[in-house]
Amino acid sequence: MFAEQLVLEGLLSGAVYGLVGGGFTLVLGVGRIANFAHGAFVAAGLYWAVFAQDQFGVNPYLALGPGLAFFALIALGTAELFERRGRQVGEIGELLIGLALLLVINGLLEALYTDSPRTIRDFTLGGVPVFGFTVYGTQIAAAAFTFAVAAGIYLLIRASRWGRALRAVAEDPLAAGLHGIRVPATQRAAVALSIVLAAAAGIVISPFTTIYPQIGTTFLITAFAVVIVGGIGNTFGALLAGLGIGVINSLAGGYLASYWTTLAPLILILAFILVRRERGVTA
Amino acid sequence: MSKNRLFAGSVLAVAALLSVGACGSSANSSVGAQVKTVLLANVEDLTGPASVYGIPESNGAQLAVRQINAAGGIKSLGGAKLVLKRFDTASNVDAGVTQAQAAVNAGAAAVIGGEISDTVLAGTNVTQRAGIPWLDTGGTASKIHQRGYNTVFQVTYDSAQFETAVFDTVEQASRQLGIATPTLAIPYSQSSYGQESLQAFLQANSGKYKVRCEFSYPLTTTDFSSVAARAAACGATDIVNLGYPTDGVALSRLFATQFHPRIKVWAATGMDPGTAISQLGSAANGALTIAAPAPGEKGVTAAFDKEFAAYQARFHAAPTVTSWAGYAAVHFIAAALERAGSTSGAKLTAALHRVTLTQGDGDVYSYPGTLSFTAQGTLRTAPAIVAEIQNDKIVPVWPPAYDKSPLAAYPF
Repeated sequence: MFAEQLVLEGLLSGAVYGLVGGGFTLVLGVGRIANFAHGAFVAAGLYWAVFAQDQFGVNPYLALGPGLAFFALIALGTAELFERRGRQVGEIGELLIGLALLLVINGLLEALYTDSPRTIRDFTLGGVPVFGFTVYGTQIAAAAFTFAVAAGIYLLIRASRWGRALRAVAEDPLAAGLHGIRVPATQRAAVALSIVLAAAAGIVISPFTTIYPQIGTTFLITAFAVVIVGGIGNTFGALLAGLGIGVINSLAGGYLASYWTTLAPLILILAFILVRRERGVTA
Repeated sequence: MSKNRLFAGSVLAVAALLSVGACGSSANSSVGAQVKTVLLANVEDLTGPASVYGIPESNGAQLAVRQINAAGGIKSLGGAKLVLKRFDTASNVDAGVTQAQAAVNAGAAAVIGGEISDTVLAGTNVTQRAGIPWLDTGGTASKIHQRGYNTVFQVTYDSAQFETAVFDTVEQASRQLGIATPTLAIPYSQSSYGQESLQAFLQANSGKYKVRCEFSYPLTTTDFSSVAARAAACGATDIVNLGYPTDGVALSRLFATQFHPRIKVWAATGMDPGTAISQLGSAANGALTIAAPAPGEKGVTAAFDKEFAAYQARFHAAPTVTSWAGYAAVHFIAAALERAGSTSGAKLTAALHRVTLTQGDGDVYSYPGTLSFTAQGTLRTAPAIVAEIQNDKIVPVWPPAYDKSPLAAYPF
């Protein structure tokens, strides 16, 4: 029963990792930017849900639509910042912009909400008893959202003209440019989409997450792990990798000493780096 | 050439004499009635994760400074006013050294503050060398006073005092709730704080209750599901979490709404009860946690009620455990300054070892009746209060003065 609990919990957590990693894989694969602020945008999404409840008494799902619109604006500005300023300086400039954004977002959240842990109160979609514990309806909804987003992005990338442009830029930006694809615009769009996905992930997981300003840093580390295992630019791989890492984390936390909880996914990443194929877990 | 050397040597000698003279005059100026202000350095985590403790501590210190100055300042120094200058360590251990040095350079007579033990350990190396006292308001590590530093004072409970209080409460709860054979599950944070807390708790237990499982989790844990599942699966009657505020809130929620462990006692020692109630609502009920005194409680003095109201009026928030530590620290320094009649570090340190705060005069706690330091710099009796959250209210259940408070089984 205990093992089943851990596996199920791991899958639920893994779906969240997949959603967070899905956006990160786009920004790395297409945008070619290691956006260190990616996790901070997840935290910003979490606090958007807190803000919506505090100020308007609105639940996170109702806050999702306005949240996506708000973060789309932020994302476009951020993508422009990366494109216009970051690329002028080079990779170091992009890294510094990411780090600066991470610090600014963390600092703002801390200033506005302090470091006291927050939760979304009095909102539930009920629960289902499974293996001796209760799976929240909100967890199931978050997992469903993840699968829907992963499928949507997969279809977008495979079946649309814009998706083909994304793939072309991810493969070889120079060649894509020579074929008439507007590379900077495509990269900006990928960066913006990844930020919106990060914030959406935060809003969707807010009903069952204990929220504090620095929570984004942990999501960033997980996102790196997901991208390395799932393959850069591969959203479907990110989903599978997220599920795998979630289960390994959960089993390690349940059975092993604490340092193994930290080490287990890192060992997995190292193993993947050693033996990986081009497209990660889905190769 | 030799004349030049002689000249240079003379200049150096004169400079050395002047600097010695300057040191002497500086020391002399701290004695007597000419001092107009006394600088206290508040080296504190005012930003970052530990600011949840640091800001209330600093507020409590400001309240005390304001009141002491309003009452005429330090009379033995001719009515000198206290000036509190804040140095932000930003929850960064390394800043303990740099900010302590900045405080020393600024001419602080004493330092108060510190919520992270490692920060206090680092910062007190600087103040000990400078010979000025540091009153630690939140660092609970026993190492802080075990190094033989005579200038370091802990105005809070250390790990041993704190975990003794927690174990006593768990024991009291198990007895009151009629648990025939109490057993323990102890998830603890994989940090120096968590590990020292575990050692202190096990020492307090000293084999009395069987420990069914004890396991640590990383400091960076955000998803506590596997921790909750593991603790619930231990099959213990009592779960005791030795961790941080976020850990307690996350575990309380998971226990109440997802894992439903078959336990009678749930102690989340690092959790702030006010935060737990505001964020978890009824899911916080039944948790045992450390608490600050509140108006209307048994044994609480009228002076406390007054200070509580003053704090709320000024800072628009209820004071926390660290608020009163900051408040007491300033009162300790003020009492020591009165006694020493000097801002000299050596005299102030000696006076701090001798002063006693009484209820209504710096000691706001209903328990113990007085506050004073041992030779090692710890409080003789630490003012720890353990409360149970019942019906969204904080109900003190320990120390023994609260022994008759009804304790409810978990889940509430």
